[in-house]
Amino acid sequence: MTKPHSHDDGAPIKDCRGAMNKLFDLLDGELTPERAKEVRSHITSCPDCFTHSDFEQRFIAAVKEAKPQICASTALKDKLMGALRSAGLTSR
Amino acid sequence: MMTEELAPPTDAHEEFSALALTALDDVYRFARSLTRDEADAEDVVQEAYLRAFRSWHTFQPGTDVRRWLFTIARNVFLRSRERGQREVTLDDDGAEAVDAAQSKEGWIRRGLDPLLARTDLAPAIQQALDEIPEVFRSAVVLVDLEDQSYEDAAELLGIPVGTVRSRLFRGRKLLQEKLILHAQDLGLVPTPGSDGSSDE
Repeated sequence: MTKPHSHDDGAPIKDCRGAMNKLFDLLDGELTPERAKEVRSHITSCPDCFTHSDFEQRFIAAVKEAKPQICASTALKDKLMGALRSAGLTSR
Repeated sequence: MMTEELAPPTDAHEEFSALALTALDDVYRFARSLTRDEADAEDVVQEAYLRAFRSWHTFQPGTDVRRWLFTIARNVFLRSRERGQREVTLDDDGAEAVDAAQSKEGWIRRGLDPLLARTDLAPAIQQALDEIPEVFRSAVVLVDLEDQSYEDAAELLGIPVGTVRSRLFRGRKLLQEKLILHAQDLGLVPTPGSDGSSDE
């Protein structure tokens, strides 16, 4: 059996509190397969935890989708390359 | 002898250009999330890359160059903001804010449900991220936006994995609290207590 990650105390999931305490670890893929199965099993059998899990999952997805699509400007690239060349960079 | 202040051997320059410089957009985006200011972010990026170039011999080939550069960029940022005192203060402030958020979690969930169905949420989330304390913002940015694992984020931030987990939790709850205010502005949810729904 795979060991739980260092931040997982390995305590059995006995109730809603235990399952919700591991919810973000589950949604972030930080649990071992065995542990994830245990937490998921509680969530799918508990309407309250399912509702909460569904909400947090959609919230995290929304945050991930909000990743800014910004790039370093040409001016910054030029300025940086100038500074790096002054510091001794010879390539490019 | 300050070997880290010297330029690396010439044969390492191509390697630096090929690896480090290709991560420039990612490092800039991360710096923007830290500074919340375009000019400050550019200063952080430039200083971080100069340090990275001079310390290139300390980079472990085969490891994630992006994570290495993020670490340097954050250190540059923190030094510019007098790190220690600020972090302690912000941790305390954040804890109080989260306690408040947790006490009305059901209300927040009901209020944010209609907001999460909207497709134009990104600007509100980015603004909310800008408004939460840096220690929590960094955890959310690294895990949610930059796809770092808890362990990688811990290494980058120089803190235990448990602290990443805690800051991520707090950061997400603070974000939700900020977003509920946005939902109120849009008229999607009443203000707390106005309809007696703030209690679970």
